[in-house]
Parts: sequence; C-alpha cells; structure tokens
Amino acid sequence: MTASSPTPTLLLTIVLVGLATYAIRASLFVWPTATSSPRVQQVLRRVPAAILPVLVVSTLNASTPTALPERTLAALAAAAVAWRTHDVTATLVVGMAALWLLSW
Amino acid sequence: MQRREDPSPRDDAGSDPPSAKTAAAMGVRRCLTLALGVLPFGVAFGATATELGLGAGHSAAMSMMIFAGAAQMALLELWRADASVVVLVTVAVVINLRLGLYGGALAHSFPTRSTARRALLAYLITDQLFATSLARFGEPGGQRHRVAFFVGGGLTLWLAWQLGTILGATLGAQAPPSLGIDFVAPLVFIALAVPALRNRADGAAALAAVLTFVALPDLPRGLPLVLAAAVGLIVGTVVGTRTP
Repeated sequence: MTASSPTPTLLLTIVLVGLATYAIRASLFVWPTATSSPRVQQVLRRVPAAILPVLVVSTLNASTPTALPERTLAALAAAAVAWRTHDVTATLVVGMAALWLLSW
Repeated sequence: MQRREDPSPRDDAGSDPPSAKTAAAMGVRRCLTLALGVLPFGVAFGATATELGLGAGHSAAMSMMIFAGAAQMALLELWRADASVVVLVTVAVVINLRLGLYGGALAHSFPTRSTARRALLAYLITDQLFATSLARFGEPGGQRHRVAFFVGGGLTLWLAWQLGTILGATLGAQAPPSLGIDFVAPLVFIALAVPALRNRADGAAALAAVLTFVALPDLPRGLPLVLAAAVGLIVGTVVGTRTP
C-alpha cells in the first residue's frame, strides 16, 4: 500500500468534490424543475452496478500477491453474506474474520 | 449507497406529532438503526484513508465536505492509483448524481419557500435519509413538522458518519499492518456492490465493466476504471431498454 503524504491535488479534489456534491444535492431540492428525462434516469440507474464491482476488483488487485488467494476466498465469503443480508456491517465482520482465519 | 429494507409498518406510523421536538425525536429514532450501520462504514473509510497515508484531519474534511460514503471510498482508491483531479472529480460526481434525484423527489415534500432553509436541508440528503423520510411523509400524520423529522434523522446519520470516520482514522493509525486493514476497502465495495445488482441490466453492466477492467492493459491514473465504468454503463443501459 502506498504511504504517500496527501498532496495539494487531493486537497483541491476534496474541495471540488465537496462543492460539486453539495451543488448536486441542492440543485433539484431548492429549484425543483420537471424531473429529468426517463432516458437520463435509465442511465443513472446503472451507475452503481457499473462502478462498484470494478472497485472491488481494483482494491483486491492492490493486495500483495501472496495474500491474494486468502483474500479472494474471504471476499467470496463476504459476497455471500452481502447477498443474503444486504448488511454492510455483517459483510465487513464476516470478511475480516474469514481473512484472519484463513491467514492463521 | 445502502439499500435498506424500508418501510415496514411502524409502531408510531399513524401518529401525528404534536410538536417539532416530537417529530425530531421520531426522526432520530427511525434513523438510529441505520446510523448503527453507517458507523462501521465510517470506521472502514477512516481506516482505509489512514492506511493510504491520510491524516485524521483529511479524513474528517472529506466526510464533512463530501458526506457521501461510496464516493469517498472511490476517491481513496483512485487517489491510490494516482488519478488526475479530472478523473477523481468526475467519478465522484457520477457516483453522487443520484443525490440530485433524491433532492428532486423530496423537494415537493417541504412546503417551506425559504431558499436559505432549503439550501441548509439539502446538505443532509443521503440514501438512508431519503428512504426514511419518503416512507414517513407517506404515512398518516406524516404531513406535519417534516423539517424537524428530516433534521432529527439527518443529523443522527451525519453524526454517525463523522464519528465513524474519526474512530477509523485514529484506530487505523494504531492497527498493526499484519491485521490486513487494507482489506476493508474491497469489503466495503463488496457490501455496496452486491445489493446494487438487482436485475439483468445491472448484472450486464457489472460483467461488462469488470471484464473491460481486467482486459485493459496497464493504463495509468484511474483510466481503466473510468473506461470500464463507461462500457458498463453503455452495456447496462442497452440491456435495460431491451428487458422489461
């Protein structure tokens, strides 16, 4: 894992994303216009599925190669729990516990 | 991006709160269980941020200024990949666009015409608060003191996120590397990704995105994620328009 110190880039990013996110929240809430077109909504509906699984792979890839087998197994266990429970806490707990057990 | 089962019939469903204070308390109560779920997520974020070299101050700043868990986690991962500001901001914005839809849906629920008040309320909008408020406002007795309910619930969730972040950042700094705290990051995304796969279109989007991601050569600085997500969005939208 990188241990680089935060750069001005990150600070600028935090501010920009913060402002943009607030603008997103406030725009349709303060000035409700006609709701966005069905087509836009259809695309937006796919965003979580298009981005989140890729982030799973990306973060798993960042692990040290020797740890990958245990981590993949632990990830599968966590995915099973997520499927059954839709519970973030349960997924985290089972995933970490599985990792520790497998790494013992 | 938590999808919570809601709403089930509540004991206080039909109650017409006599005062703003009671309504606020109801908001707190309704969001308390959700807040208990937000807390570990916040801890995971703080710990992951610390693992990557961020101080508690930066983590806290992110959680206060952005206040959106999935986007914050994505930012961490992209920053680790040395992504440019353009990529970082774009991905975070795309992930957070749904908050605008929530705002649009909630706007008509609040009679207040004060722009300043609406502007303040908007900051609290999250998946959980949106779901909880919508459910409440649809109940008999749910017309009154909506702002109080919204603020009560919203602040509860907000506090949980900030508290979790600080806990994670400070605890994460003390955790030994052998603990594998960095594994928390993929776990959080698994917890968010699995419930997001609700239908065939979602499945197609995910599959296309992941395949693209692993097939891409070593492109720098967050580009593989952006390209993979774009492919996933296109495929998912096409499948979505073709399946009922």
